[in-house]
Amino acid sequence: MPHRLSDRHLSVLALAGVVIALGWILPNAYFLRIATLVWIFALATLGLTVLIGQAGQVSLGQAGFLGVGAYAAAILPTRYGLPPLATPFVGAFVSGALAFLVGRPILRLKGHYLAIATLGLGFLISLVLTNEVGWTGGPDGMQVPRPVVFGVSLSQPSTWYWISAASLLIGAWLVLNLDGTTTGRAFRALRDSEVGASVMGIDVSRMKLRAFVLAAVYASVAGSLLGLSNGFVTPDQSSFLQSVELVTMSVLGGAHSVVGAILGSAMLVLLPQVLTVMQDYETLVLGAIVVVVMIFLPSGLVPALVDLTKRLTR
Amino acid sequence: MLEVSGASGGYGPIQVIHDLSVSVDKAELVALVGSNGAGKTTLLRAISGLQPLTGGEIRLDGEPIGHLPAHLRVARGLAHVPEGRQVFGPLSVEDNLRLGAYLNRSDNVSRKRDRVFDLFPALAEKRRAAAGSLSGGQQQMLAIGRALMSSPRVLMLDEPSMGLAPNLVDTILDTVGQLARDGMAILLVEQNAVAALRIAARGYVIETGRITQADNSGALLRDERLRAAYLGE
Repeated sequence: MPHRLSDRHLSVLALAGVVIALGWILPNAYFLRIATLVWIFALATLGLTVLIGQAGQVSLGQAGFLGVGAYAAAILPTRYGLPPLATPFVGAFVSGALAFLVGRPILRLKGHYLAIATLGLGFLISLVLTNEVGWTGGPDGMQVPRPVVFGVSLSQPSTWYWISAASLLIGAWLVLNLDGTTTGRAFRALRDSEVGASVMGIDVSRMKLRAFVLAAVYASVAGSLLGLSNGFVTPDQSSFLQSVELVTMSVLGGAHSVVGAILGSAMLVLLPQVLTVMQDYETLVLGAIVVVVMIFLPSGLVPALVDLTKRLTR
Repeated sequence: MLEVSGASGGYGPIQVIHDLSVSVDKAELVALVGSNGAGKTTLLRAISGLQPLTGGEIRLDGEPIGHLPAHLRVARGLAHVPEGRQVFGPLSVEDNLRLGAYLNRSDNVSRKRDRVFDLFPALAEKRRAAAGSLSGGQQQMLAIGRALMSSPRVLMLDEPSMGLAPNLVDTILDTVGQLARDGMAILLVEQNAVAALRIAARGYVIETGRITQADNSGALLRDERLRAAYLGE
């Protein structure tokens, strides 16, 4: 369908415009770092856009894969001498393989049961990262070596801004392209009716597994970028709270919307920074904002905005 | 074409169907009638692989298919229009139909889609509308049309008349009859026994998971006991 095609390209182009503009406008390293965090968490959330928003499967253990990616960036270069820039790929492979192995039995479950099982998986990964002190440095975390390209160490905030932004653009483009494909339609069929999907000849368990592996890979790459750009990883990045935050980002922005994933991540990264002026009440106000948005805009920010513009232009 | 012999099964420890045997030939419309909870839906779900059998055999063209997962049975030419239609609500009518052709995308999908639109012109008008916004009758047409997109040789329909206005029931059942005359093997499950038996060549009566009568539909429609029990006379 031609109109969809142009929509797709427009979204990526608009996003690229925003990314480039911000890269020029943002005045100092602090803002660049914050924006980098937004792009990285948006990338992780995009995996959930496919898994939760399109395929309708919940994961409360997504931070586990974020942790695998982050620690891949820390452990592989220090212990095995791998070049740091190769670690996002190796980490993605490990996360994908782990999701594939664990996904088969877990994805037989539905709804709450699936949520609890993925939560357990996240906990297990988090526990391993916290307790295998000899490998991971334990609760104190671990230093991530800076990649060196042509004798230049990549430690500038602006460098990581561009790397994470480019990763996000590629990730967003892939998810947007999924929309018009048979696989994309099969994901949405799965969400609407598993029985319906099954009698269409869709291999339901295989499609679920595919979405789960894809989401794990997205989270893992984001985790690696997080480690590489911070120069440091801690087990907190794989914690249950982090998993919940990722799901919140996805649902807040609009679970099946690519732009929603980015907006949701932006809100949850930026609001705490803005709300620091509230001091002790920071978390309280953040929580209240999230609750209010979900009560009044249950389908998320972006779908609500799209509805509004449609109504206004009619 | 489709033969089920000695099928038993149910949900967990509860056995719903007992030793059921049913067969449908090419270009034959067979009705399976019975009251609510008799096991009709369970039998269809077992045939299409949505739930396992504890005993018995299912053959398609003489080949056993009972061991295959649901999606591979679709690939063999078995289509199931499930209870409650199960259309994909947020997706458009066209996307629903396209998903019906999920397994044979190489065939001319738009030609098959046009054939569905010929069969159900109401769908053609709504091709871009979300399936969830259609009326009950249109959703049923879409569910049948979607099943036809896999070019099935055997079509199983679960209560296509449920919740529909009488004139729509006639429209839909007429089309189903037409499909059988065109060569498809059809197994039609209905609570609306009169309507189903009128278009069917043969019928089975199922009670508490067992076949209690099997005859040509004319004979079943004349049967006194059956009239009293199911036809409300």
